[in-house]
Amino acid sequence: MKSTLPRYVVIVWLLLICTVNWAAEVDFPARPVKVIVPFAAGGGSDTFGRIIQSAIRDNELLPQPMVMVNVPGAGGTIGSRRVKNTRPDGYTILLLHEGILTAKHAGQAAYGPEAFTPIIGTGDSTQVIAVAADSEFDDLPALMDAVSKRPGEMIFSANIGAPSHFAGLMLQAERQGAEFRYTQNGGGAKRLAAILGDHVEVSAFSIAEYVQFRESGLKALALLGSERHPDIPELPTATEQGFNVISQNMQFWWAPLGTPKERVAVLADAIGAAMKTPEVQQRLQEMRLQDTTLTGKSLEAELKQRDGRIAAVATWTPPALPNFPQWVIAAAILLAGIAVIRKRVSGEASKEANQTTPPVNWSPLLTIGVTTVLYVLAMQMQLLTFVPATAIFVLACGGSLITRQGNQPKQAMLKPVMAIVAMAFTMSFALHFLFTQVLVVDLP
Amino acid sequence: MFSNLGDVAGLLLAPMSILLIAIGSILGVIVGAIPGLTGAMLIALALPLTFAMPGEQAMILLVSMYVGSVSGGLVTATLLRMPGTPASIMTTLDGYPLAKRGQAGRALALGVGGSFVGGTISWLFLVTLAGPMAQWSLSFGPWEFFALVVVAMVMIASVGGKSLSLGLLSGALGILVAMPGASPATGLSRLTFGIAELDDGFKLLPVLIGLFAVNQVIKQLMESKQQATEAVDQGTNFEWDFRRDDGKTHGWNAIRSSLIGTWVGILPGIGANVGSVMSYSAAKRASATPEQFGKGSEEGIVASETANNATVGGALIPLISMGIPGSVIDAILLGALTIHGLQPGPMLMNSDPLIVQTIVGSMLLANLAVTAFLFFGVRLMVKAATVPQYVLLPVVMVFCVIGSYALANRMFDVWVMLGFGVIGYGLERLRIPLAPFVIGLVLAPIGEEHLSAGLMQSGGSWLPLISQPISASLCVLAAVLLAWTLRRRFQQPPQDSTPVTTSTE
Repeated sequence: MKSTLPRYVVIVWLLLICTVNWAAEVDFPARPVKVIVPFAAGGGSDTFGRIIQSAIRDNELLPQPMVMVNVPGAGGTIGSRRVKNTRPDGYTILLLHEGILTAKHAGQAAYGPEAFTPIIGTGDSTQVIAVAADSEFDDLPALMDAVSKRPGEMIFSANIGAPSHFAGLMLQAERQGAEFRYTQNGGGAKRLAAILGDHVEVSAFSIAEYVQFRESGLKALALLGSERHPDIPELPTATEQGFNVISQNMQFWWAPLGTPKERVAVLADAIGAAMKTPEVQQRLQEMRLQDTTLTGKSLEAELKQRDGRIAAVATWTPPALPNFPQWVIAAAILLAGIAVIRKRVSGEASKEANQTTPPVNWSPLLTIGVTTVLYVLAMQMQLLTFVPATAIFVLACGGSLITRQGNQPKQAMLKPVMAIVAMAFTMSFALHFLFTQVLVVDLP
Repeated sequence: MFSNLGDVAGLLLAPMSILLIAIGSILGVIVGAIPGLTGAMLIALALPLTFAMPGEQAMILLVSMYVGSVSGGLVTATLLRMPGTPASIMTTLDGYPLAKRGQAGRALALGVGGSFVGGTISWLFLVTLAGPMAQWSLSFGPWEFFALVVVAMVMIASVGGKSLSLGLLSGALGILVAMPGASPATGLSRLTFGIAELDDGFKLLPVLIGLFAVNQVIKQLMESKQQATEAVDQGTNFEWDFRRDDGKTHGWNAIRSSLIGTWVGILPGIGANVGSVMSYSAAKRASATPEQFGKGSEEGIVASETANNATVGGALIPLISMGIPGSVIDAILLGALTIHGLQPGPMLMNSDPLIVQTIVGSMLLANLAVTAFLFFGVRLMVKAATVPQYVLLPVVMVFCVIGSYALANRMFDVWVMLGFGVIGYGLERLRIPLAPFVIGLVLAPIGEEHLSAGLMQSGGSWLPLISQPISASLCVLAAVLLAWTLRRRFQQPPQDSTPVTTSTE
């Protein structure tokens, strides 16, 4: 046993090292560009991204399609971290609005716009303060009077650390003694459900969300923009009602820091051109988005200004929630203790149990284990691409498992060996085709 | 609901629609059967392929995949002890032991039959409840959700194995594994030990692949050369074993499981796996032979497979009545609606009745197609199971690696998958059941998010948990369940804890 397995593994892995990984240099983009949308499918950002995506495809603005990948969670920080840590090759970009600024000032992310290369800013949307349709409040002063009368009691549904949350913070900063009680409900659809279910009293929505949800039972109190919106001319701005609050939300496209300038320019051009197509123009109208496109210097200036506006009110500290991890660790230790005691009490039983445990056979496990680790390592270190690595892995594992079957005549070994070789080729090539061509996964 | 039945029938019975249903069902079943590939992944990845289609056809394809992916897991769960999807974990517990005893045909017949019944009954609920449900779902707030999670946790811990303390420990460990990463309430990251990749926490899929598939590979390699072939010997020569009195013996169980599955499906965020867990434990409690559960109980298979299919119909109810997803897959379907220019929400049924009727109708047709494919295609899938160990193990490992990797295109998940393979094996050797671990992992973020929302709403007070009727009754239910299980365990003499293989073996 000792002699057969290492020799096999050594030969196979020598083969591996000899194989060279050559990657051809081609024009960007040579494969689909992944756009990470750090919010759930169906939300405002997602819808917007997909409109641009189909415009780029229909008008052939890029030689390769864009692929939307939803990575929702924690006000967009989970998705933005993913892009920040990805390879800066232009093939993974981020679509994230104002949330990138708010997450930083709420302490959720240690980084802000400075951790990315901004590609382009598109489509400005204004926020709306809304309550349930049957609410007693009909305008902003009435609402804020009530908030000042019972500070810290009126529940404001927010996506903590996201623009909806900062809309509330900016509003309460305008009135002495006013303070909302914020609760985490997440995206627009969830905040709508919380309002309709009477679990919260007020929230902020983007105009697109408001128009979409309006008929479900929402009533807008104020528009947080500089002037009235042509589609809802009857809705007064907060400024008109005596509250100097402007909370707009622009969709920014970001590439990881260090992405080559030419690639950023290619993407910016494509997205900018998509904004100008008639179908996008029409959808922007429908979604109540302003037809803005910012690149280069003007984009950086705008980002700086918005950053300042948000930083001014970012003194909010999260409510003291219980330290859940601590509780769970304590509970696990406690239960482990109980389990050990129970086992001691019925000690006889466990002795018997040990006897029924089958004998351990370490060597095949070690072989397969080491081979698997080498397989994954080889792909991670990019020593090998998926196809050769997989073929070699299947050959190595299969080979080591055949040798376990013991002393058989040479002829009898032929069939299993053929089966493994066939499988090695099928697995490597077929899976590579399936995943890269059909399922758009970028395999190493 | 079907005001213009002719239009819908014409649309659904067109050749293109039938073809899409067939493709969707077959792909769904196959992907569902392969550990490491999930329905959510298939549907998410198929979504771009539907852009060129009209919205109705896209929904037909995606809904068929959804139905197929929930059903496909039962084949590999029964024959290979590898749940193709999390939804068939509970099927593994009884299907595999039964198949090992030479009754693979019986186990599969019960699974396929249960799937069909569950799908059909939940479809009836979908048709009748979608409208009225819109109003009712609104009354659920964070405390109700949290209480529901607690009930589910208590249930699973008491199902998990012989020992309540080990079951609870396993659940706690599962919750612990869910802790690293961004907090679902505040987005602040914690317990990441400075590892940037852990900012996302441990993803469910790699952990599941590790716990079930890799763990099984390790076990086969370490413990016995014969075990691999033992699992598959049944594969080639089983006979479908439907029995005439199945309706009588399993009828009530199937109806109860369908009800539980539909109910769990309706509740947002909790999907097929919780549905099958809850109906499994309900069936175990109602059973005359609860000691058979985990050792090849027919009732267990029926409960699990009926309920997980029933969640599909249930989960579609909030989707089409409110535009609120009932599960991960429904969230993707919601996105699909938006892409095709349809506005999900309470108004969808009025503004675009055809799409709602298409979704509902294609679920029924897909249910039929999936049943037919399982019936004729199991032998094909079983062929894969007759492959000898030296071919099967490398293939399984490659699927585990590529499946974990493809989830987020990163190798970190592959290492997580391998690590949890070893952990899973270790836990089982210590006789700690795996099911509560997995359920703890799945439910922890849901529970924490709702608990935090509740505490933020109430300003830190826990009172609403017991002062609101629905959450209060759920809490009482959880307490009663726990007390009852404890009492039963202590009343039984200690021979109850004598050597028995763990329930997942």
